[in-house]
Amino acid sequence: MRYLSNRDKPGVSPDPHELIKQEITGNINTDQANLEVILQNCSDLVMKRFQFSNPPINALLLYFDGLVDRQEVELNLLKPLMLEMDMLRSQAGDLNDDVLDRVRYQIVTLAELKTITDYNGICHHISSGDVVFLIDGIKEALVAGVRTWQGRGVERPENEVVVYGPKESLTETLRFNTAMIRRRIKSANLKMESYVMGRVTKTDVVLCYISGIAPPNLISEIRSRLASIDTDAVLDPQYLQEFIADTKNTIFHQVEHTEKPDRVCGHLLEGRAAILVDGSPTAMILPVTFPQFWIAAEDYYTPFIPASLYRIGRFTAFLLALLLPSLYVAITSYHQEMIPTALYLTIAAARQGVPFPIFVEAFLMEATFELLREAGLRLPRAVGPAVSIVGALIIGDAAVRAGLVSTPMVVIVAFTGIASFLAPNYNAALIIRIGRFGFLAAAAALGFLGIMVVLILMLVRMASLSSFGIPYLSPLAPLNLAQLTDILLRRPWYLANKRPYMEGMENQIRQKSGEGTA
Amino acid sequence: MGQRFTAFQIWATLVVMTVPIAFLEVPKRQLKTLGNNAWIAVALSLLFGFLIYSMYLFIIRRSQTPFPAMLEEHFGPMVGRCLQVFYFLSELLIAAFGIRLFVEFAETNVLPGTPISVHITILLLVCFSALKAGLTTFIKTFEIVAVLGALVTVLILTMAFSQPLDLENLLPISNLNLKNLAIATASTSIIISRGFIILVLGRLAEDWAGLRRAVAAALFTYVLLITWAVLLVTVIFGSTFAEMRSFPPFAIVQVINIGGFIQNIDSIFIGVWIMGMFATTTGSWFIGLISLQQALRLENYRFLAAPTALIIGGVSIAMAENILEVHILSEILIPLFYAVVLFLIPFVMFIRILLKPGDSIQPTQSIPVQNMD
Repeated sequence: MRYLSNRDKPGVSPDPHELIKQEITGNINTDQANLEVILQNCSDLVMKRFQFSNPPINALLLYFDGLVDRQEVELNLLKPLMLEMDMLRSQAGDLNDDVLDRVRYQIVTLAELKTITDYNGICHHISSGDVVFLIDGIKEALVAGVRTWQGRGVERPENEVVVYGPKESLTETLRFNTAMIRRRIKSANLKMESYVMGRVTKTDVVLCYISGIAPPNLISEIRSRLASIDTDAVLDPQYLQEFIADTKNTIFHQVEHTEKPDRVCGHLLEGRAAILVDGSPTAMILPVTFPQFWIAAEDYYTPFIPASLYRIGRFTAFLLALLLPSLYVAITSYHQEMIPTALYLTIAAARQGVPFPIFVEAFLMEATFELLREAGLRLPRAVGPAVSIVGALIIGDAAVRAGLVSTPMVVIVAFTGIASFLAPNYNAALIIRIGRFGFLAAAAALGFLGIMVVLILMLVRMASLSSFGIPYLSPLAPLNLAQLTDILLRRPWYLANKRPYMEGMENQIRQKSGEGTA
Repeated sequence: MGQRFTAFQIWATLVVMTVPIAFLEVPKRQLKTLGNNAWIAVALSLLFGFLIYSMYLFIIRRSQTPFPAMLEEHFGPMVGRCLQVFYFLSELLIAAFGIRLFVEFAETNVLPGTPISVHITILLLVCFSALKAGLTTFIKTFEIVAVLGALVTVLILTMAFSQPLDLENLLPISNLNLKNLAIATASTSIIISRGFIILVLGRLAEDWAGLRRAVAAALFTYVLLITWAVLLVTVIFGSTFAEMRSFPPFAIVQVINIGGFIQNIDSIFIGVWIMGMFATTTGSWFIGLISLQQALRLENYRFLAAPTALIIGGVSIAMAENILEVHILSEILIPLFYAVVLFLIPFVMFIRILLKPGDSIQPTQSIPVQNMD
């Protein structure tokens, strides 16, 4: 009854959610009224009613302020309509039958033009920064691509700092990002498939790969996983990662994030795919394996001998960052006989008066270090480093002076912290930061035995993972010696004849004369 | 299952199934039996190991199903299924013994005073996690364990050369009791039959030539490492002193001292050894579970891991009162048990296949091979 009474009641506005599904009526007054309902309370909407030609034809122009290049609209859309339509009419006579085609192909000088037939399309396009142009009596709308908005320019990467090599970073604007990639790979085989994801956000997502290099089965698997996502918002690749990862409940990331376009290109050239999301300055690379996290972009811009040494150093740093505090706890708590007596006496003397057991001391120091690191990241850039340094120096020194922690522990934690900064990838560093506490607890409980137990559990977990079907520990397990060498050492370019193998890859040859096709 | 194993994965599995336990069991037993000539028995096991693995490969080649389904194929459904249940119990016992031996080793050398139940629970926990992850996963883990274990072992055995070596401890070679040599060689060789898991993996190998290469390499690795260890123990300590130690190779690790800084690295060695024991135990436990799975025609074996963990833990604690009893088991009962379970039954199977006319291989469609992954 309530429904009926509402229906009969005059002045009740129609449901915008229902209206948006309707087709354009062709009556400019009705269409305007409907669009006003659909787009009500959108203060940034510009809806301009105007007339062109003689006798006048009613038209409606729609766009969101701030998303379009207004100069472009005025010069290439409105001005030709107003001035040139008259000339055309005087030459060609009555235009009523094909007015839209005339406007599209003979009047408007914009390159990116297309037509749509429903309100949903209108809303999507104006939200994306296009201008929509409705003409009275025509059941189609003309969409003109005049997108422009204020965005961050191309800057230096903040999280992947390099000494040599390109210093451009991806930005929040999808088209800038695709352009940066296309500028580096000038091949028709570089494909960029577009998706619109998120029921509410309607975010543009692009899947990049190089056809002929990327395994077709990988690309179809990515497509099918992307297609299966039904969510209302996608604001960053991380949103997608949690939907498309092979295993969800794990601290081990099965995709890589990068903000460097050259790194994206490097991955694409090795047969991987990248996903770019509008509004996010990071690209998601997939598939990846765990050892790849320790390869820095800079390795490829440095001569291969130092690059290989850095890489070995990075792997060593990974082990130190993960295990050093737990080894210290295990040795000082259970296996004192392992170290020379003089060294043990020095440690014991330094610990004299410290009120905490060594595990508690290590745990508190590590936790404090993590707090300081997080604080340094979240605080404004001008203050962050200062807080970190002041925190580390002053709190550390004060804690030692107060007898709360021992100096060897400060050295161990500082060394661990430095080693963990060598991880070239933020996600890889996260694994270290979380895993370290597990090793610490195990070392406190069972010494070396505990460390090894956690290590086995970690290995089993990692061995059980895969990234789009690629074993997570490859090329370590299953062992592929050639690829493992390529991971541990940076192979000189003149010897890197093959790309890392992926199942289904069609063209593994990178640089043998006449054999590369991509 | 669609998964195929590489030759390297099979090598790694065979190495982790044989070497870690052999390090704990073989040297003491051989030193006791043959004294200074113990290394000869270990070296000779290369020949017997070759025969054992050849037998396994022959069985794989002439079977249409992997172990444990092949028991039904060659012994008939009734006996085959009884044997599957027998293997289930036997492999659990082998796993329990392996755990207990390692726990005694760890207890004696690294963490005295910790209740053995704690060690057993921890080792069972890691093996359980591997079994729950599945065959493909733990075989990948074995690859890392084998490489890491082999590297550390070679490193330690190499570092042992820094100790004073007395080659006279190997003399007199001529004082060789042939009966003792036969016993020692047999008991060393029988450890090689722990590579029995090849009957499970053989049919899942990528290619036959790779499988043969992997088996040969695993046998060579086993003989090389164990002979090297026994030789070093003998030349460093002399057989009389070495045989008094509970775990003679471990004595080498304890005396290593490099530059007055690297010393007493036994804890590291034990830490690495737990990886080997994890692999050995997981392998035996897995064979036990798939045997029961096949006998009862179960869809999956993983859910059996939790209840059988309790059985293994209980048996492991109850099987011996102390380390002496563990050594008695290790020297007398366990070799015989290995001989029956890992050698004799496959040998009977081998004979049956041999006597069977080549064209009389029975159709095996009636034997449903359960999913082992």
